[in-house]
Amino acid sequence: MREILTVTNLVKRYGGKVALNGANCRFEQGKIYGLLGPNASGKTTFLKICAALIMIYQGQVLIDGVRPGLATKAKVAYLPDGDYFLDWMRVADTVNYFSDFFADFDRAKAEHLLLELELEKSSPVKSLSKGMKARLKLAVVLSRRARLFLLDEAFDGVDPVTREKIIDVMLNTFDQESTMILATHHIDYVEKLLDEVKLLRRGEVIREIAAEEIRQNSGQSIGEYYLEVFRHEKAT
Amino acid sequence: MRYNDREPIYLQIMNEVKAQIAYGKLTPGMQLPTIKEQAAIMRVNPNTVARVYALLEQERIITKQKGLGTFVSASEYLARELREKIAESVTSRFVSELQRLGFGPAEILQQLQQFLARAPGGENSR
Repeated sequence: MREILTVTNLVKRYGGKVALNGANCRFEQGKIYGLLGPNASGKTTFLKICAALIMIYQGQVLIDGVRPGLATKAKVAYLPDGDYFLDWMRVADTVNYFSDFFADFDRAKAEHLLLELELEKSSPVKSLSKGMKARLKLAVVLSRRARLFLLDEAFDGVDPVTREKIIDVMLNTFDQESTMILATHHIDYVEKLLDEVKLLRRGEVIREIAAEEIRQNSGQSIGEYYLEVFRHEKAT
Repeated sequence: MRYNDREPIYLQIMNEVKAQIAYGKLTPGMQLPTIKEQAAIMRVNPNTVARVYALLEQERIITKQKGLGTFVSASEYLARELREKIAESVTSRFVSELQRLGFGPAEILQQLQQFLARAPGGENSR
């Protein structure tokens, strides 16, 4: 299968603190990956580098053979952890804003996703609950016809109904031309979505394994497998 | 469908499709949803569904027709065969549980006969 993202000896330090410590891994087109690891294992830094939001690092990152930058931003859709909307906007303004920004933004799809996720165009962003903000974030990111979707904690602060809706629109967006990388602590939500799991520990990729292989070989769920690997980790 | 997160999802979906044929919910020649549709219905990774469809096709339980879609195999024997296989595995579980309790063949038969006598047409008539 075609490789969409290749990461070689990736190192990132913030001052004296090491966020990524020689991470190596590959991602193939047409698959959904879980990027899993405890807090401070480097997940967000990893995604930010791939999204070309952090440009200074050591090692090599190639997206479809090209280093992250302006050219790759056009085909990489990144959903950041936490808040990133402009509070004075309405839902409709936010959609317009993204539409202006990205050439691959699909307005028809955005309309469909707003409906699907029950987002009112006239609602001020300020008035949205945490769950509704999570929905809006996902709607604008998944409205892009991107090749690579990097989703950082897409399930944070969402109720079970929103979770199902988010999974539905993810599955609706994903196809053989695209690749999704989901960084999340909510492993139980993504058990049935993942092709492969990459485990990050202190800035290194320590395991790369197919989800079905975990279940087949050890009779464990991904969550149990994760716990077994990380149970004895000390918090940093 | 409810899944067990400790068993391969593709096996669970395969068994579910087979059970649906055995119980007559899916009938010979019936069209199946596309991979993408099925994945959305079951809320699972579409690659898992693709794997299920490929394996079921290898077992001649479903057939792909170019440009038309995927269908339950038209074989009349299929449902009977799958029903027998399910019966076989249910029986095997039943017998091995009783064997674990120390029952021999005669006692197992007796147990079954007594149960059937007590529950005429109840549990077993469906």
